Amino acid sequence: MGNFHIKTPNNIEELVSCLKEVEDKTYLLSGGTDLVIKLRKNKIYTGTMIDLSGVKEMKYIKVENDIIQIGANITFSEIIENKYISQHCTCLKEAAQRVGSTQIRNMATIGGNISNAAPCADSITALMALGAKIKGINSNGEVWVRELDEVVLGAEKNKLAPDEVITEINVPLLGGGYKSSFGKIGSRTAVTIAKLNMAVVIKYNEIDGVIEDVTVALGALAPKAFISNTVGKVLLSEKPSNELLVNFKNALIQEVDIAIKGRASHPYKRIAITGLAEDVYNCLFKVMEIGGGN
Amino acid sequence: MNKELKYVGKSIPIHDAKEKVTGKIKYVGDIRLAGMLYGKLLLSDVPHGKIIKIDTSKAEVLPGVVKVYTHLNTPATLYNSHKWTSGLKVVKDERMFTDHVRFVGDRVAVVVAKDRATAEEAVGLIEVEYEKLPVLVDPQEALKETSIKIHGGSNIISNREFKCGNPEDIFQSADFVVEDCVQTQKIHHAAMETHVCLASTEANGLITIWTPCQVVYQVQLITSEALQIPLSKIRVIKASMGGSFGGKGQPILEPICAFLSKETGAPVKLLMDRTESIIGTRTRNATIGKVKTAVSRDGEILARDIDVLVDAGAYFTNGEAVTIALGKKAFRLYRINHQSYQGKAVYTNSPIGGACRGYGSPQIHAITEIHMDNVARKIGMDPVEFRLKNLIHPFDDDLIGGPNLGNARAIDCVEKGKEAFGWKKRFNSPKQLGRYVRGVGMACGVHGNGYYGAYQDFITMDLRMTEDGELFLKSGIHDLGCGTVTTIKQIVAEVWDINVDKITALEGDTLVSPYDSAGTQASRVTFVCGECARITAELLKEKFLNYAAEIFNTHVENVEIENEKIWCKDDVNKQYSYSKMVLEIRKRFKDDSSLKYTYAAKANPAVYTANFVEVEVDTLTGLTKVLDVLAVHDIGKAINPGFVEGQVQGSIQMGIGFALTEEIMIDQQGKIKGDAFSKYHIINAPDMPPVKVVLVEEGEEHGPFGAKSVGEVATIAIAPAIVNAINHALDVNITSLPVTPEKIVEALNNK
Repeated sequence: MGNFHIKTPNNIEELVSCLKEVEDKTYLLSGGTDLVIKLRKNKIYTGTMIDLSGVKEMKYIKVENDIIQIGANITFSEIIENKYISQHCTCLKEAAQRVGSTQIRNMATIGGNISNAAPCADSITALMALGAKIKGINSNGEVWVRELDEVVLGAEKNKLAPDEVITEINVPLLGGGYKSSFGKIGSRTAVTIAKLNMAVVIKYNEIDGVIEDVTVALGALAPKAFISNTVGKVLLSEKPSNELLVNFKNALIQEVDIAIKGRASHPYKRIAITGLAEDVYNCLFKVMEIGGGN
Repeated sequence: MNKELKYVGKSIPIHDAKEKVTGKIKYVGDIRLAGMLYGKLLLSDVPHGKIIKIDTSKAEVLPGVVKVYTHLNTPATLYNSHKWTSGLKVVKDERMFTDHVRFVGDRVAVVVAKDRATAEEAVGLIEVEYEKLPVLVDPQEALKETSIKIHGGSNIISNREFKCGNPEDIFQSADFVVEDCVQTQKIHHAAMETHVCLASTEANGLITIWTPCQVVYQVQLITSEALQIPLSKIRVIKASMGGSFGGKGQPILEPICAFLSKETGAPVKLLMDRTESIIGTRTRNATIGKVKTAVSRDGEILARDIDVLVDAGAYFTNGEAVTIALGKKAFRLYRINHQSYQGKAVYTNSPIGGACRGYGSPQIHAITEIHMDNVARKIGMDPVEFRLKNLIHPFDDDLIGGPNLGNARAIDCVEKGKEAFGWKKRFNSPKQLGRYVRGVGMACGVHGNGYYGAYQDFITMDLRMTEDGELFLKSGIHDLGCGTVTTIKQIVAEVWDINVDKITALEGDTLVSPYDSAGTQASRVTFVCGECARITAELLKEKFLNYAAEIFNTHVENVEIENEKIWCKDDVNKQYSYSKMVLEIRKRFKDDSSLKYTYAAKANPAVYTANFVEVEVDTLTGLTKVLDVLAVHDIGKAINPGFVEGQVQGSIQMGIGFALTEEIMIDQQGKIKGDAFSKYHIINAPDMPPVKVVLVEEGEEHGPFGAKSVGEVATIAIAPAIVNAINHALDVNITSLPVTPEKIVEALNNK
């Protein structure tokens, strides 16, 4: 029978010393909801496992210097229940709510979800729209900060060096007027993997009713989530209206056409994304009258 | 039988509810015997090929591995796991481990090791070299003589026809002829417990098999055939079961597990994970059904022709039996004087077909009931009225010579459902505009009550009153989790007027259970086994009363039995407890208060259902939400209404998956998509609609207290009802299951 050597660092210092001994068959265990399945599937029975879950410096959500700092060991359930996230990162909360099942959300961590880098990962789409940065550490104890896009390679691969670990997710605290929303389409209501997901962050000027800033992130259309500038441009400097919703949908259809034309899923996704667009759009603008002009 | 029923008709909890909810029950997966070894299968990842070389040496040297078995060191005996009784003629094409893999999931090898993890690791070390063969997955391609031969001969394994009247002539002159082609997919049974088996060999050569199975005598028979050892050397014990739905009907692991135990001399447990259970056991057969109906202007069905192609998968099993069962059902729902059915079954390089709740009924009803709505649309008739005009009537004959339909209450089901659902109003309410649209749909279904008229259908029961006044029933019944044990106890309790808790009803154990000809199959258990329990209890009571009459020195008419007491009407002082009477009978007559009786089924009436549903479809994402379900059942008499409702609720859940999400998808290369629950989506709680169950209890002559079956019929009308509701909502004619969001969006695009 194979054997795993399990290392259980209790703090960053111990984690760094574990990282110094990283080898080919070293695995970083966080919530384990993806890793355990992969180990079984790939029949991996030996190696070293660094269990991150005991590292106490990775378990918090706090706001410092206009940044929401989310420890990598924070679970999706904790994200859902957190007041800062609720207040400032609606789309991340909504994404967390749609991840897996209650059991998965209680175990799975945000750091793990990013490292796992699945094309349909709900949290990555939301974090991308929010402009999140990833903070980590390596075996020399050097702390690094990178764009999310630089960490996620996609198709279930990340760009981390073997001796690097994500320790924290930094989400800029967006100022007044910002709001966000996340939507997802799977094959059933709950416990479903996204066929499409989308997160939109906007800055909306309540006084003149104009969208002053916008970021649209799309997931499950490419090896990894991406920000669509073309769709963003359609919304930027515009006032919510039925016409704007139509333009938003059309821009999304074009984006789908570019991303997956020729694939079996293309005819469906180019229509389905317009449903997703309505959901997200209605969430963002539900408090205001939609009807073009005053 | 005008006496008010005391035990029958009551919702008593299932006999092992407490053990189940407290987690104390021992499933086979929980049992550990001293020195037990663990087996792990290697299933083929190649859809079609010959094994040229198989190298097990690396696996064999892994510490903890006891032995590796392949086609080279296991019996080459061919068997057919569908064979549940000795006389049955079957085509044998399956063996324990093959040298010619025919689908992704075929059995290539098994590792036996000291623990599960080692066995799993060792499986990964087996190297198999294949000569890959062309892959055949399209059943229509399999019909062609030029197609690659999966088993050497023709891929067409069955070709059956049934006919009444002269449909050909009628089609010539009919007002309207409507045609459809409906496709149904392969699905997984999705029992919570995956396939598992435990076998242990004693020094005298007796192999004991613990298995969550549906037919202990079938497991014994197949194991005997596969291992070529006498039946007497095999004892099969039906273990606690975590669901079957037909999936555990055919023995799959049992002969292998018995062989491994025999060879190693140790107890061996063989357990499948979910993926193995999905691809490597049995599936609901996929079908392609072409149906054509001639109908008059006022909605009378004049003639119908049905042509069904059944995808049996890579091995024969019950491919022919399903093709027959499916066809026969088409003649038992509507009065159609001129009708023909042609059914063909073919081999393909895909997971094996087998029994699956409804045994062909969900497929034939998807085909005909979706089509019925299309016919109704074509002639501008309300689909409910169209059905009412054509449904069979009580005691109609089966026009192809099957058993009489019995007290067939199909019309009552539809009438009751129509009112309770508010069909007229909901069907005719104006369609909403906008993204979300609603529609209603309904469908009917028919199923059977055992094998009478087709195969041997009898069971023996052995009932004994113990000296402490309790009843002890030995028989080969199997509780699949739906309450068979309690149902049987309620029937016996009613006859004897004894508390249900004072009855012990054992489940199947080939060493101690009297013989049963067919196990838990064909919706026979309540109707046939239940009737046997009732008669056995009556006969034992008669014997008991006769002895009591002599003891009380009176005529038997003067002996009363009630509430666990027996007394003489002439003399109130002569009152005995059951216990005292048993002892008295022993003393006076040197006899045991027991009786053994064999009951052979005397009828096979039909049971009916009508399901009404409302759906809401998101026209942009194509997602369908089932909002409301009403299921009406012609049950004869519900022995335990709680169990009946449970069966219906579960059936609806299974049927929604069949209608909307579930599919073991096989691509053109024979690769299987949806081989795990992350991709194979059953309907879970958030998507489960409220289900209202209405029972029609009009009694059935040969059923115990009038009871008929429910477990299978409950799952056959829901899928076509949902499809009809979607077609009603969207004004389209989707005829391919499952109706995925992709198909809905496509249908709307083509509108």
